[in-house]
Amino acid sequence: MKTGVNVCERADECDLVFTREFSAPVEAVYEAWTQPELLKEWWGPYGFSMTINEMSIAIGGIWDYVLHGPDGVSYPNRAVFEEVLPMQRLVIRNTGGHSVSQHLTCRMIVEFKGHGPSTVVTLTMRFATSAALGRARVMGAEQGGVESFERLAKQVGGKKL
Amino acid sequence: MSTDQLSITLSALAHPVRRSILTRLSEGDLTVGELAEPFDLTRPAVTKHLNVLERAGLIERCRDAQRRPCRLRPEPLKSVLALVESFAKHWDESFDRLDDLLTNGGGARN
Repeated sequence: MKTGVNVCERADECDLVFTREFSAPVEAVYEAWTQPELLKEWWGPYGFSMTINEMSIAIGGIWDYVLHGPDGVSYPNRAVFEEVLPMQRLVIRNTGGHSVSQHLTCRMIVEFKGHGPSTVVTLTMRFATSAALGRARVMGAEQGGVESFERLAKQVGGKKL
Repeated sequence: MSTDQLSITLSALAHPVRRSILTRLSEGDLTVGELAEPFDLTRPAVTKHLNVLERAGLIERCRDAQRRPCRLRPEPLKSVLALVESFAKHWDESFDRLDDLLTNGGGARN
């Protein structure tokens, strides 16, 4: 697993935090997140493709997209940009999307940290625990049945914030 | 305050000391004193963390032995693990594709 993962929770929210370093300057990474024709090249797991109906990178701007699974099932999503700080930070309020059996209704906070030729991207999925994450559990988690505690320790506990 | 099992489990996991305790218990039962050793914490502080873990059903304290060692109960972790894993897979695969795109200058399409 090359992507670092962490979990932290406050009173009513739970964060899943994913961190990855890319060998590209922050301008290129930010462009890949904000240019629809580039974004649809990579967004989604293997085998998925994406149709972008609308994408307006501005505060209050709409991002309307559909993820197409390898099994032919489509997962419509509608998101609103709540913060747009070029090369630094995007906050996206996402609604919908049963991608990989998971409910993607959450706030996605994307932070870009350029270090010359490389860029660290930190993606925080912020769920309202009682609502969205509870649904996510019903949708997908219980079919998982993964048993190894070592894997949890590695994924949940082994990475520092 | 959330009361569903997943939220309770996540709350219990939200502290690094508690995650460290669980990781150490995954290798075998330990007493409060043994668990407290590596931390710069008082025994009452460690006991507080253990109480949170016990309420979440993540550990149990054996009653038979005099030393009352703590034992890991991994069952509640399964739903969290499955959830985190599926999102981790989602982003790991997306970021692999982004990495390809950035490395190949935008020319790659599967």
